[in-house]
Amino acid sequence: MVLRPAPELPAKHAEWTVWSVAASLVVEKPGALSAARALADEVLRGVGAACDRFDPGSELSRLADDPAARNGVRVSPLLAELVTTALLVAAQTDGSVDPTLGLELARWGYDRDIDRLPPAEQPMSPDAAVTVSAVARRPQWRDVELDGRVLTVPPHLRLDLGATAKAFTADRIAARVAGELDTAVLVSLGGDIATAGRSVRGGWEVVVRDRETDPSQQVFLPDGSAIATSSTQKRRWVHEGRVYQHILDPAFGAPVIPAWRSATVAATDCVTANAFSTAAIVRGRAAPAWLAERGATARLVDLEGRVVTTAGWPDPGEGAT
Amino acid sequence: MATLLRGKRIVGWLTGVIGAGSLAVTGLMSGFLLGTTHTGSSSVSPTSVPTTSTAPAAPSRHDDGEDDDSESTPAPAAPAPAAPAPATQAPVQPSQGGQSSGTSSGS
Repeated sequence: MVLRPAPELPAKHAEWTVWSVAASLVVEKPGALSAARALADEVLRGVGAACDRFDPGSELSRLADDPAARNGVRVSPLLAELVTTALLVAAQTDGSVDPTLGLELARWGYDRDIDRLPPAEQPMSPDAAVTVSAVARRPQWRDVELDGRVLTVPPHLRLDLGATAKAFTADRIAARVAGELDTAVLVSLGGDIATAGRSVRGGWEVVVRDRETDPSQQVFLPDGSAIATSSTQKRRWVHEGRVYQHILDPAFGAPVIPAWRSATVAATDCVTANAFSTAAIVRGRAAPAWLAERGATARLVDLEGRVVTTAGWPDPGEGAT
Repeated sequence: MATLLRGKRIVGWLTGVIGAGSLAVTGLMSGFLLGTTHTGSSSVSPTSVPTTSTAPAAPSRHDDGEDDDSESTPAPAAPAPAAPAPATQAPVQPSQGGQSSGTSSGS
């Protein structure tokens, strides 16, 4: 396919780092960038204050140390929204994306910001032997109760909303920027991309690529759509002499033994896209059929670098770079 | 000579009868065929609406090998065709070219 040169876009970019990931913001309306960035910072601060697992002062961290949470405590509207989203995603993915894995993540060594953990930089080899000792774990997200804004968390569980909070934040920023500043906007938080508003071209060109050496593809994301990629190649660390990655299988409470380098899903909102992309990593070889059954539009890259797509995803040869 | 003339009139009359019958049969067949073609296209139209719902594992009516409409099967009285569902836009489409505004990658 011959790619036509696009008209010069009037969009303006801002890039920064937050929560140890790259963030970017693109707006079309001239002069809206500063106000958009301010809105983004406001949303990011709010979500961080509500549920940053690594901030001992966050509402979620304080809740974890509060014995009253066993019997139900009233939480902020934002934390209630975030927990609701996490529980809905758990249901949507049949428990593959479980918000009750906070203790397990810490047990595998992911108990502080990823930038402060010993890094594992070497790329994953498809032949590499991976051994993880784990025992079967009962799905426990149903044990968390949220009645209005009263949250009850059993004492043996710790919430980790990291799997959904980033996508939630991308959706929220995009909606607020478009709604309050009347501009088309694209928001990216660590590769989780949300869009809102009506852009000149009716959408945005986006590159799907995990690591630099992985196969990449440029696609068109219509206005209002979102896309998310989950990776077993990033957020990896060394713990007790072994390399682990951050996506856990709730069935065992242990890091997933990867079948895929990455899974990318496009949807009408970033929370849904991220839910399915994370669930795809958890479900391993069964992921393509599971995604197809749900009508999810997805692109997966296996450990050999081969691309597998579900129906609805553009031909991998189109836009391949 | 009279016999010859009478024979010519009979042949001419028969030719006319056969010609008229042929035209009538042709007309009937054409009408039938046109009707069949029209019926076929109107029944296909509603199913040609693009959809993004793709579930190969879920068998569709056309996958079960039963009761497929065919030209040899008399069509039951067809209900009024339903208005096609509004086409939902795919959440991702082939690149239209140009500079990208972002990269979706794992974090």
